[in-house]
Amino acid sequence: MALLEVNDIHVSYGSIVALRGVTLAIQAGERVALLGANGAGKSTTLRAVSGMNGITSGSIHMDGQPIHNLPPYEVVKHGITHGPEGRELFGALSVEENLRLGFWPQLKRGASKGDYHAMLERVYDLFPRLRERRKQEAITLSGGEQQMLVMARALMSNPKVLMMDEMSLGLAPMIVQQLFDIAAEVNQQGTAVVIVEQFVHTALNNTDRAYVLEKGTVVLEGKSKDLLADPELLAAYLGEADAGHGDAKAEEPKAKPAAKRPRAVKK
Amino acid sequence: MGVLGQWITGIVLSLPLVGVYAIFAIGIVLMYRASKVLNLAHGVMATFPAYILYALSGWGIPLLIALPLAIAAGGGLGYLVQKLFVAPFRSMGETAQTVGTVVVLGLGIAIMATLWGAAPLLAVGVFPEVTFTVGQSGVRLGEIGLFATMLVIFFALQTLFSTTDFGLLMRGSAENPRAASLMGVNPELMTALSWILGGSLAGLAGIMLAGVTTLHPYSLPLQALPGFLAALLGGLGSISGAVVGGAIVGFVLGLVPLVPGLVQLQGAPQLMLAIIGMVVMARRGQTLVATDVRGGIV
Amino acid sequence: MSDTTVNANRFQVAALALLVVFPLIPKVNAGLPSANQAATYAIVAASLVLLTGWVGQISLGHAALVGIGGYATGWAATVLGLPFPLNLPVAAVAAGGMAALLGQVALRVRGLYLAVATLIFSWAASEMLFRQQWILKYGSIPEFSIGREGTLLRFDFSNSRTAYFYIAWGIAIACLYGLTNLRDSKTGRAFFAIRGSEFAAASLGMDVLRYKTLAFTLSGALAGIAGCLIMTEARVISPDSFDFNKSLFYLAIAVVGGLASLPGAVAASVFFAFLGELFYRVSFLGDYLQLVSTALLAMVFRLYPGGLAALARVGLARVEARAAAKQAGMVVPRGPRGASPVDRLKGMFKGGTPAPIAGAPAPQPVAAPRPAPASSREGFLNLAGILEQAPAELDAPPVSDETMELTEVIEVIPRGAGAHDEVEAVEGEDIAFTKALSGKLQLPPGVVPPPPVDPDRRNERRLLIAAEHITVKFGGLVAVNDASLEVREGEIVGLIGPNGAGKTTLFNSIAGFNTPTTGRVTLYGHDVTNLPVNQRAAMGMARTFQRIQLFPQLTTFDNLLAATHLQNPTGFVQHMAVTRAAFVAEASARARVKQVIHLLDLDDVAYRKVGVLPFGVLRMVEVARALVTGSRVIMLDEPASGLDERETDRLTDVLRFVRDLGATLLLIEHDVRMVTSVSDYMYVLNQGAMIAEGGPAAIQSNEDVIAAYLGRSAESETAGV
Repeated sequence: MALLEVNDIHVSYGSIVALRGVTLAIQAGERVALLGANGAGKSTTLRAVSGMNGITSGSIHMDGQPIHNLPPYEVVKHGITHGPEGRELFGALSVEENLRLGFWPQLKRGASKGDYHAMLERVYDLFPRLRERRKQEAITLSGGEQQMLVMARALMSNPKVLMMDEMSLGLAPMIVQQLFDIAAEVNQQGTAVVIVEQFVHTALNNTDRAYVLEKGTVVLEGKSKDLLADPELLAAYLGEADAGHGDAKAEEPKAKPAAKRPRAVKK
Repeated sequence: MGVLGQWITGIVLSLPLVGVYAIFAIGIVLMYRASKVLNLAHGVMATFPAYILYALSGWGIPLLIALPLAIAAGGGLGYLVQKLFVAPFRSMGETAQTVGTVVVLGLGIAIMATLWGAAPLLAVGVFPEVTFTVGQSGVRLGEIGLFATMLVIFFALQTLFSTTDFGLLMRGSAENPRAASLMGVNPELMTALSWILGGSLAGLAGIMLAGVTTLHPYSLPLQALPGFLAALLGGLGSISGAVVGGAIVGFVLGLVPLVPGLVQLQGAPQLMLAIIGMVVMARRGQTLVATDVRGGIV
Repeated sequence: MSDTTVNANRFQVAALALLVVFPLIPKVNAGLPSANQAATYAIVAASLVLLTGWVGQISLGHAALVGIGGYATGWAATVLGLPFPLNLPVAAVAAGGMAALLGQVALRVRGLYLAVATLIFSWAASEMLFRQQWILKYGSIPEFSIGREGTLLRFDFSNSRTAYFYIAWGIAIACLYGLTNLRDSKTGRAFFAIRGSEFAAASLGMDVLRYKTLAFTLSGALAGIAGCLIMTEARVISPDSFDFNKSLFYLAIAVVGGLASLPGAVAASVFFAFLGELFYRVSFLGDYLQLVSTALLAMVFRLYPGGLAALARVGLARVEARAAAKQAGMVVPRGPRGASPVDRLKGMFKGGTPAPIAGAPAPQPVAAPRPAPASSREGFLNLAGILEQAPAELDAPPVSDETMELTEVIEVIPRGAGAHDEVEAVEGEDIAFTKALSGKLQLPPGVVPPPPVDPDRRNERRLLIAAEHITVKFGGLVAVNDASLEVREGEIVGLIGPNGAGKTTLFNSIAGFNTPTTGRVTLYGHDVTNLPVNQRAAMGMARTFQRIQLFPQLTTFDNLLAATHLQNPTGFVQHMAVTRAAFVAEASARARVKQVIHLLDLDDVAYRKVGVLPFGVLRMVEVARALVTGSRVIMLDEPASGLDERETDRLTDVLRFVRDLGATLLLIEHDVRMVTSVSDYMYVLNQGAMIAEGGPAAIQSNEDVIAAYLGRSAESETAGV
């Protein structure tokens, strides 16, 4: 039996059906990617697992326990943490206060002050930049640092499954790889990691397995390195590479590159 | 007695105003931070406990028991208003929720007027009746007590919020309820607690205020309005801001009548406060507009 | 929006008749004092319906405005010597002016603060304004009567309750008549639009600031009129009657009536007036009116926000359903949409049926209408439904001749297009909506689609939009970095890029919803970089929104009708009076909308409230709304977002169709497959910068683009995978 089992879940936002039957399974200690175009349902799947959204049918089990349709503050007790799309930091609170709040599920279980400091040190070792800025307000951090805080905070409660949604959004490639490297390290220490990404290659390069979602359901699944070599995937994202219009457009000249080379986004 | 003396007297006599409006403002800020709603029913949460205390005392219950009960009534009222008139309208937006509190204000005033009549009553004083002479006027112990109590409350809350875990939970939940939920904190519970705390504070302030003024269903609830102005002036963001706002409002109301020339103008301080309040809101509203548009369409 | 049916009309005529006869019936007319009060209540309640129900602006200080009207009346009578009704305008101006002032605050604050602002105003009025001697001394008016003593024509207002009754109710009815006309006009639609979505309203060319000010002023003027009536009857007033509690009382009346319903407001006014009478006669324990009114307010607000109007509607709908069930097959359509309410009213007074509007389809056979569900929130603007928006920055609009005249195209559609297929509304199935997603899109005869676009020869086409070196910074974050794009006539241009690339920000700069830090936006050759949204709309730019910004309580038809705003040159006075010009403008607006509905196969959903339609149809309605404006340029913000395969294909067809009609489109999209199939030219944005542009085939094979979408396949790829 898998650690986290998602079984044929359906989710609706009002009259819009977001998920129409998603099934996936996460084993302990795995790294899994959820891929797909915008609106495919990747984020919705994570939200259904963490309790931010309710499901209309299907089931979700963690360690054999049903967790679907529980509020997030109940789900987190089962050892699942979620770094959501939009980051959801406590902007006016300091880095350390954010981390302490991340530790709250442990405190509720009776963890001691010593446990807290031990965990804090572990996290700061993974994210030295955050240690430097521990007293700073979260909102003053850079984009990359904020994303680190999201992951760090999610790790404070020592979860069995860590879910990160679109970590790479708006970040430079170097920072993105740093985040993935840290995720790999965390994974080595025993935590299963589920990543939602829109950048296919980056995701596949840093995970063991992947699911591809489209219009609310899983259309492809397999080992990451197998999928990397799969041309069908390319097609799924960019349509037919050659002209499928069947008209005069077939003979279009190569695209003109933009006048300026892309520049790194200034911080 | 010179002009300076007059002003010093004025300052001292303004302190109770500062005290009561600051306590009101603190309660309002607590509720606003938790729900992003301006609790316009604050005046009812202030007045109703005063009436309860009056009734309980009338039945012979000693102050030591009646007082906490009355304050608890304020807390209970806070809980009920949030549960019945604010939370259900969350999807409709903050305006609808705020109007919900207005409805409660009207209903509360009507109920109190019906139960205890529209005539002013002599409230139960929390402090013994002692008057100190200040300059050419006197200040009552109850009035000083208002100010002193405010200071105690301020320091107690500051400690609570900045040093305790409970304070951290409340701050986090107010800042970002979704994130709080992901951390294992029940945001609805935190919000309810904020309202209970805010309502209790209102009740405490109302009881003390009634003790030095009168118990009247129409005028006492409206005393919360300067409290709103105080909260607005203080920025609606922090307890210290609330106290600063309370100071501004208290001193304006207490000192403006001393300004030569304005003595004749009836309601000058109120007008001044109203204008200040409008300006602050207009500017605050504009800041919010800029932020909303910043990230593109909502 | 309008809930009147033929039955409701009859009811109103009956009520009018009762009104005329009331004072003449002995015994019953003992209730005259209360009936008189009801008239003033009705006027104030109607002013709140306008301000709060229709425009969504809270006022907790209306009683103070009434008081200002009353004292202004006293002043006019005493100082200017003006008798009633000559002092009526003075009262209206005084209160209207104060309300306009208050409105200035409203324009700058969100609804939340407006509630507080009006509360503070009420408090300040009681504490300061109504304590000033120079105001209080006008708290009474001298005795006044017209007509010679002893003759039949003498009306002594102070003593003749009957005379006052007719005058008060006459004025009330005149006000209600004007407001009713206003509601079903261009002005009324602007009010509803602003309430529904200030962004969408601005994008349709509406000057949000101006309309809000207008609403406040009108509402205040009405309150002033009520104040004048109160003063005229009572002859002495005191500030106690105009405090906060009174404001709340007036609000209670409006809310119990149903907040957006004028007939509801009247019914509630009568109800509360007679409740007061009842308590006066029966109760010896004191004045319970305040308790009951606030309790009712609380109950209605919490449990049944639609108020009396909702109650009446549910009842009427049930009656109609029963009647319709008796008749098999052909039924007169519910709600005489074949004739506008304007016509109906004129018809009521002039007799005979009005001529059908040119271009209106013949009355269609409709299946038996289902009874409205018991939910009180259905279809009603209620107090709790007031939406919050951040207003767009706006100024006075210039006029331009660039707006495409859609009528040039549409006029060739044959008028009076025949009856449509019978549609059987099956419980639970949305068969009715299928047509909107699969009907045949036919170009009107005589309309020739433009020649296909050659990406290499774009420069031969007219330049409509140019974004030149746009940079947008938010604080320290650079969202858009020196991006440029062009949109030329007859093209469909697609703007794509990964999440967070800055597409929406660039789009909004062009549309006017943010201002670029540096760079220039031109529209039809004019620099519009700093021009407010509604002025760009006035030049000929329409847009759709990623998160649907339709007006949910209005029908599809009315949503589209709101988009005719810019083509309608008439003003609110003409609307209230229903002048010939207003009538004609309204008729032509309706005709245009009907034609667009027919063009885009939205007939089946035309008269449904938008809030109940499925999402895919809503996307089509948004496109239709943009089309109705007649703008040559239509900008679409992720129009395929949330659509399934079938709906996306339909959308693609609709977009091509709209372009064939003569519009030019710019869209941002995530669905790359969809965009490449519909665009003539594409731009690709990544991390704020433009990395490629060209025809779709070229874009698809561009390596930079592929890299941007799939991730760093080059640099950060770990070896050996």
